[in-house]
Amino acid sequence: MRRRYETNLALVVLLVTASVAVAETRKEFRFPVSGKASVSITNVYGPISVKSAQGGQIFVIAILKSDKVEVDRSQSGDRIDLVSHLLPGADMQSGQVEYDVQVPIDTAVTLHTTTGSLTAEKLQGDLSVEGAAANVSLRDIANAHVHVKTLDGPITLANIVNGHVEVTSISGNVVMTAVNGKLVEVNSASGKIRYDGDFGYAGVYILSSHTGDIEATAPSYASFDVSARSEKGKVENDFTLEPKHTSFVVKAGSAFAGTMNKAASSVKLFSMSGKIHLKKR
Amino acid sequence: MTCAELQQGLPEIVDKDWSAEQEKHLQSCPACAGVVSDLKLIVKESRALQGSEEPSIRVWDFIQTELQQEQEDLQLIAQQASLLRESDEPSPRVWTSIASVLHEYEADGEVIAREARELQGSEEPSPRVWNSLEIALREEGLIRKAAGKGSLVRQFPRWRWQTAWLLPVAAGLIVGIGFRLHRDSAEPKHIAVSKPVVVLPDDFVPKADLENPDLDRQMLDDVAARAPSLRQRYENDLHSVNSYIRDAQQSLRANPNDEEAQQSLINAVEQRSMLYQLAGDHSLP
Repeated sequence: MRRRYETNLALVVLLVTASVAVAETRKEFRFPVSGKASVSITNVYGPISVKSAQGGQIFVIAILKSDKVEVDRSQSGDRIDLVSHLLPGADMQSGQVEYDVQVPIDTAVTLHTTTGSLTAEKLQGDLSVEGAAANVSLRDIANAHVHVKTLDGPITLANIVNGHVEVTSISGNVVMTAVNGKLVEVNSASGKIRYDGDFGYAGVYILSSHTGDIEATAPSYASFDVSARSEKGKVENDFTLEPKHTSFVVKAGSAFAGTMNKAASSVKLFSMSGKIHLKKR
Repeated sequence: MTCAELQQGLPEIVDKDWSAEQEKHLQSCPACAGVVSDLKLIVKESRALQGSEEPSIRVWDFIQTELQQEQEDLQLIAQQASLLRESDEPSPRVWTSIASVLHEYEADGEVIAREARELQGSEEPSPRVWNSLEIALREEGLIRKAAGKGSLVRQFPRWRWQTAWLLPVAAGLIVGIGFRLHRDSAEPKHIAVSKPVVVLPDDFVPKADLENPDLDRQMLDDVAARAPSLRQRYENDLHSVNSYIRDAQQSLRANPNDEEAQQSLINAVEQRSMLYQLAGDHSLP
């Protein structure tokens, strides 16, 4: 009896898998580009992954989960637009498209999704990434503007060199590792902000939150000028700082300010009620 | 008398009567006579110059009066700056400017709402009608699956509706920018006061109401219609953002010149703006 049940179950699983596999469609698009290109991808449901590759073209693999979704595409010179177009009856499952995109390294990339993950790596062009509930992961980016917006999707930024980074998230946690540049600004409401890096050289780092905790970790050789304050949260500092003038009253446990080494970069940590911790690595 | 003895006192005596001894020396010494002659010429020219360039007494009186006036103004400015430094409240000019901007946006909002109503009442079918048509035509087999073409659904009317939400957000941003500008202009260390300070009443509160429950509900309803599973997330995040705005406003009221409090309000408003933007984004189904 049990054996028969298992056999039936396996058959059902096989049939379901087969039907899903049959419904999936793989499409490839190639867009030749001659100069500094820009690509914009809007995907309602599903992930988008972008990487750099050799060659003067943008190569897109799109896996459509059903025939209830199409990919609309257009090219105007070096500008490429791809949009997942839901057809009647599409839902969160059947409306999914998975994009795997290869672009020339200096391509400007704009990604939108609602729920999928958004990843980009090894790029040196400007990046704009938006997604309400999207998981965002960006790594190995250089000399670029990086703008990220999510509602509650977590954001991971790693190895971003000489960037102009602006991140806004309401409740998504933001984790940055080895991120530096002229401006690194993170604005969060309830999400936590974590920074692990050396604050680079001559940059401005502004990490602010409403209730989310802020944790910044830097090595002892880091050179920065820091002011940190939480109106209702606890503030801790592991560094021995040279005192400096501030616009607010420095009060142990709720605010501190000072300079470390040559004060090459400016660091501002502010929270209304979250905890702030400046840690020494 | 020697040349040195005569020239020693020359500046004092060049314009006066000479003694017999000096007269005698000048007659016998061409060098000293030349020096005296040059000196007399210089004295004469300088007197003429003094007479022509010297301002009249009236001018000096006027300058003195002006200086006194300037001094009094400076004292007044210093007094006002001191008063302003002691005051916790930003200048009324800031609030007035914010209020006027908000009024402008309210007026714009009304115009857009009216246009939206007109559009709704116009002969143009709504996006839902276009959508139904598309579905019906597909079912009838009269149109095939679009190959690389966009939907038949016209996108622009939806966009117009969605922009109505953005108005209060834009107003909020203006408020934020107002605070930012105020912060830049009202830096106490570099303040330059040119107008008398008006002391605000104790119960003064800024009119910048950055929350709008009706619009929030409208936005959430639309999200629910397009993506029911996301409604709760939007509602939670909207709650967070509104709470952020309230706390930032409270903090700013307590310390109007606090740069971090000002920045917090700007950040909170930007977050609200982002939420509305994502709610109206075309990546939503």
